[in-house]
Amino acid sequence: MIPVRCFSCGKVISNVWEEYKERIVSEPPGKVMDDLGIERYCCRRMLLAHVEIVDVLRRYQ
Amino acid sequence: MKVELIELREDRIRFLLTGATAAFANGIRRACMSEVPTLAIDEIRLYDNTSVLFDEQISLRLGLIPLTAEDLDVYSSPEDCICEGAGCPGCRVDFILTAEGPKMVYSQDVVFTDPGVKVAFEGIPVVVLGEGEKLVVEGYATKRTGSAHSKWQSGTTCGYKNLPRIDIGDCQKCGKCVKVCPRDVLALDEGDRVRVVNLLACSLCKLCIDECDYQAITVTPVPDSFVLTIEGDGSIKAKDLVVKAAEEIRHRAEMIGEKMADLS
Ligand code: SF4
Ligand code: SF4
Ligand SMILES: [Zn+2]
Ligand SMILES: [Zn+2]
Repeated sequence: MIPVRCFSCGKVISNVWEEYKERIVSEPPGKVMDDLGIERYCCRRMLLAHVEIVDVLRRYQ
Repeated sequence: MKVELIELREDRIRFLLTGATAAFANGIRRACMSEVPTLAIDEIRLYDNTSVLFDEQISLRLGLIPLTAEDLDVYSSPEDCICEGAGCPGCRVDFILTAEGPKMVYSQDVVFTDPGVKVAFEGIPVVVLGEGEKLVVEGYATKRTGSAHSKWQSGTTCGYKNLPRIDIGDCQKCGKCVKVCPRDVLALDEGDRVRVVNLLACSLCKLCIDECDYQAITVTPVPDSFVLTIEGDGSIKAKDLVVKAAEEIRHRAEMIGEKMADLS
């Protein structure tokens, strides 16, 4: 699951995650983040570096 | 003391404070971060959680969701409440959260007993539930300040810098400073020397000074002027955040005044 807020600055970033994930299929991630108001690089790495693993974990429930 | 607005957004305010000390500017910054109260989910009881996340992870995620209240003043913090911290409707807002998979549980699925209390952001994913997985949570939010825990921090990103002052003397128009400046503060055009086009963006890094072969440029901090940038967590408007922080400082100063008067 995407962390609720940025680890460094505390800005809520998870509310744009789903839109980000959909849009980066066809658009450059940097531009999408600009559009979504994710400005600082601490917040940008939260989205850029996130790997969703809940569905992998579910197999071992 | 003078205040000049530079930028105002719902979640961020930038202003220029002149005629103040660094201690005062920092006082405003610190009060925004740790003395302006807000609501946050405090304690939860999990009746059922068969999701992939541990109970503690659910609890952490819920705590980090910023909450807004129509009227925050109706709540007191547990320490100042008539119940003396035991817990009562005056200092607690109860909520429930129930969901059954397959479903993504979002912040807006958290339902408070007070309809005036809401999550500040919809669409924060709390946990994804697979087929047959269940989540049943009940709990309450309390009002506290950032000094208790960062989840009650109303001001998240708050900072200040001295207002820069850039003087250009015997400039040869070589353009090296313009090229090296990472913030595009300087520009080279018609005049007989480089021009400052974006003073507020200057971070006082002084790269331009090192680059100039003629010692023509100097950058100095103006000691009594500060550019403050205050960003809230979404539970309060940035403008109100600064006002409340200033009120808190005044309140404390008055308290010290009274104490001192008692002593003498
Ligand atoms: S101090 Fe740094 S930011 Fe300011 S004008 Fe010089 S190079 Fe640019
Ligand atoms: S580096 Fe010095 S001489 Fe060259 S343009 Fe800048 S101020 Fe002028
Ligand atoms: Zn950040
Ligand atoms: Zn109470």
